[in-house]
Amino acid sequence: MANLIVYEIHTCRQGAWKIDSVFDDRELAVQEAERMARTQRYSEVRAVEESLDEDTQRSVTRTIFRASRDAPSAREDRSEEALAALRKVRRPPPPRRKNVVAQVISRTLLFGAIVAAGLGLIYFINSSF
Amino acid sequence: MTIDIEVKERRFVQHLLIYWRELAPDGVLPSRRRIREAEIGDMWRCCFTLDIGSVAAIFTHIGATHVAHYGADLTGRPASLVRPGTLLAAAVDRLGDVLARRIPITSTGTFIAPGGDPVPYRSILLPLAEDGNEVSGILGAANCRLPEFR
Repeated sequence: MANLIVYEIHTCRQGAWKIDSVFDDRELAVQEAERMARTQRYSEVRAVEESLDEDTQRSVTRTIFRASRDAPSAREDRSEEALAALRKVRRPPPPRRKNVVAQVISRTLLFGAIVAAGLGLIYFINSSF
Repeated sequence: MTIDIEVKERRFVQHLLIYWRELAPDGVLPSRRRIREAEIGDMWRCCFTLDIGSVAAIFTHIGATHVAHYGADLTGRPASLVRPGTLLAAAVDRLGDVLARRIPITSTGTFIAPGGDPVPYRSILLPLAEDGNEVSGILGAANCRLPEFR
């Protein structure tokens, strides 16, 4: 399997994204994306790795760096699939069904314990005087 | 040692890219007229420029280091005449992509030195436009690990 990997810097200005430059060196691409993000000229900057399988002609794209004027920059190592999986994991868990039987038992036990304590206290007072 | 060379090579490409961006901060392509040899400094000896005509891309400048390494000055001659397998040929290899996409493209790879050894190189092609839009020239640069390029 022969893979061709290129790195692109994408910039967003006034809501419009454009491909800014192309690299075949990941480190250089990320360094340049970081530098561009620091200039504050763009609302968002990201570096994207595009991997093309020359045999199948299937390409996989993943963001390796992203920064916005409103958020700190971050190097990332996530494929689109991984990001989708992450979003799935981060969904709030569905509310758990309350176990009615367990609640009845625990409340009965608590009630029994309070009654027993009260009776014990009455017995203690009667035996003392 | 190899790491130092790699960092130096990256800086070489990145410095030229930063210079190019400063010439056109608003996102339009910079004009060839705005490029100053003095501003590029010592890197100029590893740079070249091309005029993009309707028929061919013609070298309008080739840095002294490239002239010495290539063994001839190709200024005034078309890029298509560069000997295949040379550093200069590798440096202009992605010219078509830059013309089509109108964005800077950097490349790394190896070429075979006159002694027969493969030598790693790094290059960049930066589009220029007199009207800020249509590519009419190229600022390019390439360096490698041969002593004369350090």
